Amino acid sequence: MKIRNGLLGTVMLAATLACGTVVPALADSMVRMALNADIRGTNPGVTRDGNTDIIHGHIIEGLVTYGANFEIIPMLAESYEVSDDGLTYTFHLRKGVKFHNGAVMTSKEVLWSWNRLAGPESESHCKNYFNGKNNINVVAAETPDENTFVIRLERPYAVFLATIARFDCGAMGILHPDSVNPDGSWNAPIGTGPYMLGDHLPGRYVELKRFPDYVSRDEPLNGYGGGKHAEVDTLHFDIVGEGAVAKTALQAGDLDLVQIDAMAAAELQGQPGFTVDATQSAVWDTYLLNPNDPLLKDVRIRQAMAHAIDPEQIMAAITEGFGKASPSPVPPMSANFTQVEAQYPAYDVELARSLMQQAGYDGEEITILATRRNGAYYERALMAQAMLMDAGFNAKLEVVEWGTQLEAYRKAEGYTMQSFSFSPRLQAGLSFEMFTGAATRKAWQDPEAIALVNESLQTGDPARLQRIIDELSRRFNTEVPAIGLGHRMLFTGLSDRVEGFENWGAGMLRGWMLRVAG
Amino acid sequence: MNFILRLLRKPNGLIGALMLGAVLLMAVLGAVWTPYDPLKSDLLHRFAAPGTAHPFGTDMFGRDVLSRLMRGAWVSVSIGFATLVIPVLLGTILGAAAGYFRGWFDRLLIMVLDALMAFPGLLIALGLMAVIGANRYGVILALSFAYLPAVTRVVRGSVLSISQSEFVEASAVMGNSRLYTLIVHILPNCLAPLIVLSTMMFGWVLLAESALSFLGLGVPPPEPSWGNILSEAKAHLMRYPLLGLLPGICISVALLGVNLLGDALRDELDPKSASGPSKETI
Amino acid sequence: MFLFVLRRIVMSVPTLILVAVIIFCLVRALPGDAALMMLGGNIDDESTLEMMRRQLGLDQPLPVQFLAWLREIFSGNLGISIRTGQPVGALILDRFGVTATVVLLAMGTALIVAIPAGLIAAHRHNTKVDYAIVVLTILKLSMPSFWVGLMLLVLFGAILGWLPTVGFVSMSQDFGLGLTYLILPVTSLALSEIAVMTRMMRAGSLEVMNRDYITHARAKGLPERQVLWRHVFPNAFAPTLTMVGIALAGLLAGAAVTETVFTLPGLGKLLVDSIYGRDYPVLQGALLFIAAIYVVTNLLIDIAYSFFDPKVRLS
Repeated sequence: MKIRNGLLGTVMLAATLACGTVVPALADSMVRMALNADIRGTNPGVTRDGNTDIIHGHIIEGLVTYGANFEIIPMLAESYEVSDDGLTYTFHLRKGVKFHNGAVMTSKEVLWSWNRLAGPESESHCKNYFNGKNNINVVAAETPDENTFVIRLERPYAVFLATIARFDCGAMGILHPDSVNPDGSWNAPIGTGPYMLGDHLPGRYVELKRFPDYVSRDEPLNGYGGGKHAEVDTLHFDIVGEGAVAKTALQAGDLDLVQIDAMAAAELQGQPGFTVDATQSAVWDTYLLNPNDPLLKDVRIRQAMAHAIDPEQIMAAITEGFGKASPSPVPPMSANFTQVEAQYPAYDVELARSLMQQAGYDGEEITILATRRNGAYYERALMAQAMLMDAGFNAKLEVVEWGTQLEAYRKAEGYTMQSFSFSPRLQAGLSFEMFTGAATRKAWQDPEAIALVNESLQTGDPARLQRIIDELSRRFNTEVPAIGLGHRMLFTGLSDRVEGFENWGAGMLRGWMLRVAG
Repeated sequence: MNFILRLLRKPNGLIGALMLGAVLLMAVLGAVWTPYDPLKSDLLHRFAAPGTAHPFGTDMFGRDVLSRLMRGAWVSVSIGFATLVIPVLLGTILGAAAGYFRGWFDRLLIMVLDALMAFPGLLIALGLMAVIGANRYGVILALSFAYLPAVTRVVRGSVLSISQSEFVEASAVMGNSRLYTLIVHILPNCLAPLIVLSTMMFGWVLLAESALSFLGLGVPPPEPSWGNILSEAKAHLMRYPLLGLLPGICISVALLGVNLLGDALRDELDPKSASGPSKETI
Repeated sequence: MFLFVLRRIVMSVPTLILVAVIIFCLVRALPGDAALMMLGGNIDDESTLEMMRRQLGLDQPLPVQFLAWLREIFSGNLGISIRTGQPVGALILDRFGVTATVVLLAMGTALIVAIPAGLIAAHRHNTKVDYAIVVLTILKLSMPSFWVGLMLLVLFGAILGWLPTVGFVSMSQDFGLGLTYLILPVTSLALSEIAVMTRMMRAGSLEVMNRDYITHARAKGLPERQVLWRHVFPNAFAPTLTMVGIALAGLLAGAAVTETVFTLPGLGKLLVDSIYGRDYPVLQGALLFIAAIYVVTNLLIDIAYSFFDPKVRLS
């Protein structure tokens, strides 16, 4: 395997030479990875999607970010203070932080970057998080001096910092104003991150080059923040649409680090030359129940369904035994995950049957909507159907395209139950908010639950937050607006060339951890 | 009766009829009885090897493979037959009208048919299934439209050439109306090429259904069709090749029957026609 | 003659415009919302969704979107992919290159095998050789080519481990490696084409062999080999050539299933992926490109026919 690596490395080098790009010095190190789709653009928070955020996250940094347990930690801010009334946030900037063009970061660039995404002229969806359309209304962004940045809110909102740190907004990342052309159009990102954007051949590959003058924090690495001591000179991402292709390329030595599925992980594990990393993420796999379905108006039916489904067995099957059930919407790695959140309706077919009988269930059809897509949507639905049928439910499986299923989700029609997944919400209140609220698509429309969720998003008191989350968890288990399954396992296949890799609950790749062996 | 006997005396006619008969039998049986429920999964017995309990083993959800193939035969074959109805009826009417009345109607029809034929059946299928819903009726309607141009063209061509013949002119001279002439004298003579084409089309539909299902655009699981059994098996083929081998053999046997019988039919009914045997259109 | 060609070309323009209208309506009739899919269902509020629609130009009324698309067609770059931001025209050409490589290699291989096979079968009409060839071709024709492809993959890729199972390396990048990735897809496509072409060639040759001039050539005492190559082959090949044209158009347009089996980044794969991803500009562009291939091929066949058969020109 090692020999083959060398050979292909030479081929790649020759290919790079042929393309007429900068020839890397012999000592340059490279790690080759796969993205399943090309990046949508280079403008953080504007031209983005999940894949693109991973690339942007290497180039730019925000004032704050998420730690390993999803706590908020400072990043470009040295520290920050929140006023007692919860309305004023004061960020003390780190001194001597350098942009990729050599300029030193001051509050001027911070304000410019803030207005770029959150200002009225912004082309980013992120401005809607801060302009009062939703929960947060920023009334002022000020720079009292070169190293201080102040934000004032209309109403207090505890999740404000967590909203700033969002990955889809590039953590409201700080860019140098030269990132845009004189006419205001976008040019290229000049950030402060440990990597700079390198070559990008659309549809083929994207490269990140190490930023040699990166100024690291002193703390150890923590989640998406802390000290970042990048060593690999080039992070090379090949665009490989098919998971199976990426896995094969890994086995052939053409790639070093690849996201794989459970089947591939089971196959690759134990093969010499490779390691498999299995990490539980905060992606919540669940069955959403339709709030408008007349049959489900009876809570006993919902409870019966929950008791008829065994999350443990299903999780074991879809993760090839790597994963286990964690039905609470709060991810196990969250600081708010306690004994209370670990509870869920027990798998008890007898109980399910008696609940059905009490509710007068009479063979009404239960349509389970699913799609054939990564994330085992179909497999989960099929297994739930079998278990519901065992308990005596008349469950039908309807497999549609992902686009069709999303429409059904948004309009809350055409399904009784559907297998669904939510991307990581890194705050316990948001873990409930994602499916709780008055909007049509939300599964949990109970006013009391909505009030509790709103309270959880506003309180700044950790003890009170825990009480609210516990109360929500208990209600979730008795009212059953959705049937939780678990938090998705992420599998990464690595060649032995690569060291230092660790995944974490948010699943965002941290290329600055990687080392090349030998 | 004589005709059928003649057909069965040819080796390809006999073998084709036998193979097709076996497939039809399997389909009818699959509709009323299977050893296990073909939809019932059993997570504790996934990927079971062939044995006494499960002659062909179980699949990734622990479902009995034989039962799924039998029910799949019913689904695939019934789609094959159902898809013949619309193209044959509508295609005959349109083709006859165009071939007989000519003029602007003919030109417009040809233009629309040209435009329709410029599409892969794939998209027509998906577009129509979007409207009808992703189910077997979507597949049937989609494939019906995909094959409508072929029937229309064949009928139009036959009508065109028969219209030139003397007995049609004689019919006009005798004072029969044009419609009468069309129905009584022309259309019966289109029957032979239509029968040959329908046989072949049955094969095309079986193939197209399996290809569509293979792409995930056909009969939606969990209901089995030969195409989606193969499609579901794809991910596990490297470790469990049998799961992919069996549905493919079923499709091949059915198609071989259609092709052999179709050849024999053509020799008997329509020796001049040159339309080849079934081939994938996607 | 010139007038006929001109008329056929002019006549194909309304067909193409009709095709464009059908494509646009069909694509926009698909359920699902590209903006919603870009957000992956993680909608935090409706305003985010509207913003995404505006970014993608999906907030405009459909007729406006259609006109915008027509403008893009005439400018030649066919718009920008929603998923990747690449120009659609360049994307299609890039993918078409992969498809064309596979299809042309397969067709070339098929002809090399099919022409002699068809001639021999006709020459040895009603002998064991003929029967064997006929049975083999009809057997192959009855197997779905994607299934044969899958079985080849399992055999050569997994069980024997001789060839890579998935993926694609451009031959311009690395010729030898690229070739190994092409062997299986080319073989699986070529096998079906061999079956079709052999049958065409055999039928054509049989017909020609009964003609007077062949009997005459034989009577003159020409060696049989010469009769076959000089007299039978050219006359029997004409109908086969038409078939080659139709088959090429079909394959270039959508070897979608074969490309899916072998995960080749070709045009058919692009089409299927853009259907699932609701990438409207790519989907529309790819369909229009495919339709144009069909229309142009039909045009060429019609024109070619008119050379042989003056009656066509009159109708």
